[in-house]
Amino acid sequence: MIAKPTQRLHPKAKKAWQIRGLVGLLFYTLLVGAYFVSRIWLTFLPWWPGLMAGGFFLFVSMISIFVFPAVRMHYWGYDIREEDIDIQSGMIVIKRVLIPMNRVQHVDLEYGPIMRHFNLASLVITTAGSNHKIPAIAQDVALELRKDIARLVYENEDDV
Amino acid sequence: MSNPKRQHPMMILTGVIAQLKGLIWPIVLVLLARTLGSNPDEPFFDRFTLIITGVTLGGTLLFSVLRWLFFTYRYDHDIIEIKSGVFIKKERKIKRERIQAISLDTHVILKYLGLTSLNVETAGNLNEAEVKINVLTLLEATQLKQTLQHNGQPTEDAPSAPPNMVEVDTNTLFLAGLTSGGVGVMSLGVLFFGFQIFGIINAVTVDFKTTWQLVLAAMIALFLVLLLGWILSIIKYVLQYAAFTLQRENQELTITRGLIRKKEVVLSLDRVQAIQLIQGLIRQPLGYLTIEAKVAGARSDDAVSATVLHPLIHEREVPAFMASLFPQYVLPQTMTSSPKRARVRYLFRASWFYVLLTPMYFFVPQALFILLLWLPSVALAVLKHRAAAVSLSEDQLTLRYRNVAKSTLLVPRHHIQALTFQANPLQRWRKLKDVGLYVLSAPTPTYASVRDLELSVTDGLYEAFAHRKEADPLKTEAST
Repeated sequence: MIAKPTQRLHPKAKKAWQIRGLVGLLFYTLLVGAYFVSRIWLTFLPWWPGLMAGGFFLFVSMISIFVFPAVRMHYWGYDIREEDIDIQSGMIVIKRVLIPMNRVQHVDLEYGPIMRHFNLASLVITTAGSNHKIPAIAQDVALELRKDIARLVYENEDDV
Repeated sequence: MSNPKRQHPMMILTGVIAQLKGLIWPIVLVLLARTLGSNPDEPFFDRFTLIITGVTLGGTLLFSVLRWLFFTYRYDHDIIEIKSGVFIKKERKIKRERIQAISLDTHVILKYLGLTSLNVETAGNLNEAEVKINVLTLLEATQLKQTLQHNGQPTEDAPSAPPNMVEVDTNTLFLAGLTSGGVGVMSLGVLFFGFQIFGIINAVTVDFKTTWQLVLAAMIALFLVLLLGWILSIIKYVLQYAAFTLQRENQELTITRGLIRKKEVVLSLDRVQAIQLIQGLIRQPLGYLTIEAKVAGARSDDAVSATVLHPLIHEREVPAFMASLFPQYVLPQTMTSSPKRARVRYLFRASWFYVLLTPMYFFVPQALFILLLWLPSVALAVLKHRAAAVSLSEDQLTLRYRNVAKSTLLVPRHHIQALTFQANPLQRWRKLKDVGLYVLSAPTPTYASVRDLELSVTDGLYEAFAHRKEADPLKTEAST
């Protein structure tokens, strides 16, 4: 067995994902609510699709609030080494990706409103053929990592 | 630097033709509308139509003349400069070292006039498109190409009869076309046109006495369609790859092919990211395969089609081919296959869909016919499992896998953009893992993977590629 990557995501990430799940739940509730309200005028609409969709959305939201964040926190991790970047991701299918440092083209920082509130950011690493994401790490760490990667890429350039 | 030159005046004519080509469908549509709604008393071509046609033709001609007039190019051994544009002027200079590929594209009609067109392709910057000189004499084109390629020194001085040359004869090409599997697409084409024709000559409807006759007729028709589709696909293939030659001179590959449209593409070797040996289901028992290259930064169609390095080669000739043209690539003698116990997973992947459909069989007994598809997919799964293998040499990772055709992908280590390992819960339980990699290719990057390898094998690959032994630079940095 290969050891897990040493660096973990930021502990606050769990909370951020849970809030995102809640926002999703709110949105779905509005959607289902709108369906039932519209039945007041559109009387030909049956009640059961609304209930089914509602149940489905509730189920999805519950999972994405109580299950997914914890599972994600458990599996996700990364290492940034002299010559390569190592990311482990996934919840059911666990994926490990190795990106040689001299293949990295650019590194982007991404964050939405929730992530920003928690001072978190995602790091997106782009090679000429693919891109890979390290989600939810502290913003200052992300900035630091980006700088480090840029330096390492520069240093590795010579021995292509 | 040479004086600014214009393209050959034939450019005006080809320009007009190219423009008119784009107008063909509107014209057909208008003509159709007129014939359908025509009044026998009116002349077919009234004044209005004539004026419109005249203006369009005149405008096209004028525009083509202007375009020819304003397009000039000049070059010397390290730069090519092009000025163009009727209303919006454009000037473009391309330095020699920015040039990735120069290709000649000769249409059969132009060929008889001793003319050709030339494409200069630069490194893949999207908004810096390639340069195309549409019509120039063959002499001029070869001269230009040689000047830009060889730093002004004509190649005649180089030792002739290069050993690194591959030609493909027509018999081989015919066999390639025969086994190319382009039947499906062509048959669809034939079928489409068949329906069109039958739609028109509806009068020829035969009175079928019995359903038996109808079935027979349908089968004969289907057979004819497939046969015709097959023949057409062979012809298309042979025309496409006729006179195929591949030549390597130092770091440059030259590929020429085509009969009606002769194509010549030159690309530098370092753009070749990986080499793929592809063996289709029909070709496998015959021992033949196709060799293709994954080429980086190619955006034009020319370069994409240039990726075929050999349309059809016998297995036993592959080592010699690779050794003479691509000595830096290794054909692995032994590969580590997916373990026997993984076969069940391949069978599972081929079967779960049909199992899921089980309730349907009870409600719709006819659906049992779907199970006829299950057998071939199980057979394919066995073949897929047999193909799955990897091999790692000092600086090359080789993946072998099968979708329908069997592929062996030879990737030099430093061309791997990213290496991936993955496993779902079932695989984790069986201690199996998939290995995949990204490599640059045209028009989109390639992701190739081998499924269900022994965990010890994939862990070995991980250790070989990850530089874990060294201390984490970030940690050491933090401690100092």
